[in-house]
Amino acid sequence: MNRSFTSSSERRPRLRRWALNALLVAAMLAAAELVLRLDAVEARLPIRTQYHEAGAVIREEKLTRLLRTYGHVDVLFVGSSIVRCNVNPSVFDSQIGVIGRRRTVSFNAGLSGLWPASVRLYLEDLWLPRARPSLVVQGIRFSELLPSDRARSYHQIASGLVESAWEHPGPLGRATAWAFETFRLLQYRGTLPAWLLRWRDGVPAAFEEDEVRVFTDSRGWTPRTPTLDVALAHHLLRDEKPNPWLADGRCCVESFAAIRRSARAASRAGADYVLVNVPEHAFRWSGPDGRDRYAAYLSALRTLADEDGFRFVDVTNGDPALFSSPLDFSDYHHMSPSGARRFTRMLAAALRRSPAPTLAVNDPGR
Amino acid sequence: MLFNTPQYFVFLAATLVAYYSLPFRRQNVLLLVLSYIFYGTWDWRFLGLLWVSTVIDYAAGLSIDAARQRHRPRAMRTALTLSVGSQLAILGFFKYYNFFADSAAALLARAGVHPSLPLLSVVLPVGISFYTFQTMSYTIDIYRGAFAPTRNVVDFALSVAFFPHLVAGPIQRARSLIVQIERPRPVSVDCWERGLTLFAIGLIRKVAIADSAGALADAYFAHPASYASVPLACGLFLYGFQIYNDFAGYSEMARGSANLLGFDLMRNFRHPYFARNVSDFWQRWHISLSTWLRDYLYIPLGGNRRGPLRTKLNLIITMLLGGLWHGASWNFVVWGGLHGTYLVGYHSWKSWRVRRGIPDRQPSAVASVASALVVYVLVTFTWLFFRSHDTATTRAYLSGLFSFTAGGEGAVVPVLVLALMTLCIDVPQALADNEHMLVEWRPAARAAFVAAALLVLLFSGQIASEPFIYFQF
Repeated sequence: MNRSFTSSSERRPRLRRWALNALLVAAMLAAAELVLRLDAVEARLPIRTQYHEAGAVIREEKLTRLLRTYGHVDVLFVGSSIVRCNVNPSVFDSQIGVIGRRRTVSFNAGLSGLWPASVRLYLEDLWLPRARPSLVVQGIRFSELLPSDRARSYHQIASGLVESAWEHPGPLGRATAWAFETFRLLQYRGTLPAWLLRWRDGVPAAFEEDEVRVFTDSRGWTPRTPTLDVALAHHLLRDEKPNPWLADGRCCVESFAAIRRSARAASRAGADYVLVNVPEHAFRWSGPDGRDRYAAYLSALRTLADEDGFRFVDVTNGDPALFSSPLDFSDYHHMSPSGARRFTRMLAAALRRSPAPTLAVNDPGR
Repeated sequence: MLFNTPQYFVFLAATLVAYYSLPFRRQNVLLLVLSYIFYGTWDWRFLGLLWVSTVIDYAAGLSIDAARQRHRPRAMRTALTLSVGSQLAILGFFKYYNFFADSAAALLARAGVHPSLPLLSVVLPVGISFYTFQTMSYTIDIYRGAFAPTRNVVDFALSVAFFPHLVAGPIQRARSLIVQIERPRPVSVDCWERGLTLFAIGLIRKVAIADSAGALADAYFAHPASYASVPLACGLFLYGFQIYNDFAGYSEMARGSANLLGFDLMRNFRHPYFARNVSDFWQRWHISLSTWLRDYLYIPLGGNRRGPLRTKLNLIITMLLGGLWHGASWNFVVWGGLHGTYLVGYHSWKSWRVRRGIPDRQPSAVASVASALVVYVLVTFTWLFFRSHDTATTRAYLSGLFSFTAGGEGAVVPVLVLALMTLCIDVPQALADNEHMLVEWRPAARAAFVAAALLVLLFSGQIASEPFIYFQF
């Protein structure tokens, strides 16, 4: 080895210089890492990029702060944007109140455009280990049982640097995921070119994710405006259609499998799991056979829950017309803040009703 | 395998480990095999073409030398003609056939003749313009008696295929590389310091500056009609940063890789945007090509020895062909023609000053900065013809640029940021007149620079996203 190297008495001092240099660089990078951890600095920087979904980064940021404040999260809401917008954890907590000797703390980890398979991925590998909740509540709506172009591609999400390591764990992948989840220095990949690109049109364009960060409250709830009547007045929802028949379970195989995996993951983490039908606007179930279509959809979910031994909650009690006010919605499935308040209260009441042992078991030692 | 990918980092590390453990003769064999593997990762089918070029010029070199020994100048000329002719034929077929067929058909169509010239779907072999020019310099130099051919086929093949410079140069003179290949190459700590410094600076140029500038410039060139004058002007400056940092970055990574193997490749860029006149620019930009064109085209055409008119004509011809070297498109010809015109203008101005007896004094600092700015703006404007791949885009861009419509002034922000990043590298290098200035700095300053560079790299982080621009030439 090393036949090509010249041996020189100068080499040793030079190596010392290299070592000193490396130490200095390491010290400066450590200082930068600490600076990046300051809340004031983080708030002024673009959203970190360690996860494929910017929404996951934003909620992880909020969750960390929440845990710092309360030390625990009891109820974790997961699902797509219908959970993100329609479940207000602050309202939920005030409805549940104090159980045992401490106040209930819930967190909304709903992510926009995520269908059950992607929800399962983040639940299993991000939210459950971080939040360690007593109860996982997954919201679902009719369309999420079917494959859709509107959903973010699971394969694309699972190809994210950290997400791919979750999906195909190996020593190298695990180490990479750990490094990217741990060090802030690695969590701003691509933010410089993205920031520069914002100036392309001559005025700094707003990042959608920035808005989400600003409008998302400390519990992960992102309110949605304006109300449905405004959207309809602007002819924004002309292509929307009522939900069709859910003829049999074959079309839902993938979604059902993902929901089952979510329930099992929650159970493995020591949490109870509840599947919740998040009501859509009555328009979705309009037409002469609307009630029957709704009943078939609910029945499929109930059967799934019964088969797998988890609870299914439907606050509408099978009535698709219960949520029909345009003031309760922003479109036909995302609720307005007032709709979210109404639904969250109903959900809290339903979960408190017997049998709801979970909400009473807030073991501080967990 | 791009220099800015983790695959290349692994490839280089494995190469170094194997390379340092072998004696010098075996090192050459190892490098040759690895260079072919490196090239094969692009497209293994073109390895055959590389071998054909290698064999032609290896044989031509020996034939020219043998003919010289026997005092047969005609045989020397024949061997040279065959070698250069066949290299140009290969290059012409793969790079220019469709361009000339298309242009000839368009020309004949104007004369009312509609020939059906077949257009071929030929894939351009990566690096062909670079290694063809290099091997041509080998046979021409032997013909000129500048050096004797190598008889070792491995050494010659390695000089052609040496992976750090194979796909995008620098277009190393064969003689300077073969001399290094034929001798043992001790790798000192100096080599490591220089190599790592150059490689790191090149990586920053590529990943942090060129790719960021490119993403913005692409948007302006894709839809020039959608933007006002200021963003379009910014698009030109951004492309200027992109192409400079992309190609200079590539060259520095190539030279850094070579340094780690104990080789020295020629410097390809010397802060071209600090040039004070157009002639100075061409002594700083893509130096390996501009000196090649000077030595093997401009001077053989007569250079400046045949009177002012012929000098100007030679300059124009050289620059037109230099433009065409970059790609088979009229846009490159226009780009080369414009630079040729600037050079003619500059030389005419110089001659006028000499005729008037105006002394050639050292200009003041203000005059130097002003002339550098004028050259920079002129060069940047001319990039428009290089970047637009068709005349429709060029026209739309020019029309938007000179419409002087207001709006989009904020587009200046990325230009300023990327200019600052470029200057942070170029100014210390230029002031120290040393590319490896970091090595000479005090530990704290060096560590601060390295830490800042790492942060910029981490925040850019699009490693492996974009290929180098010059790979397409």
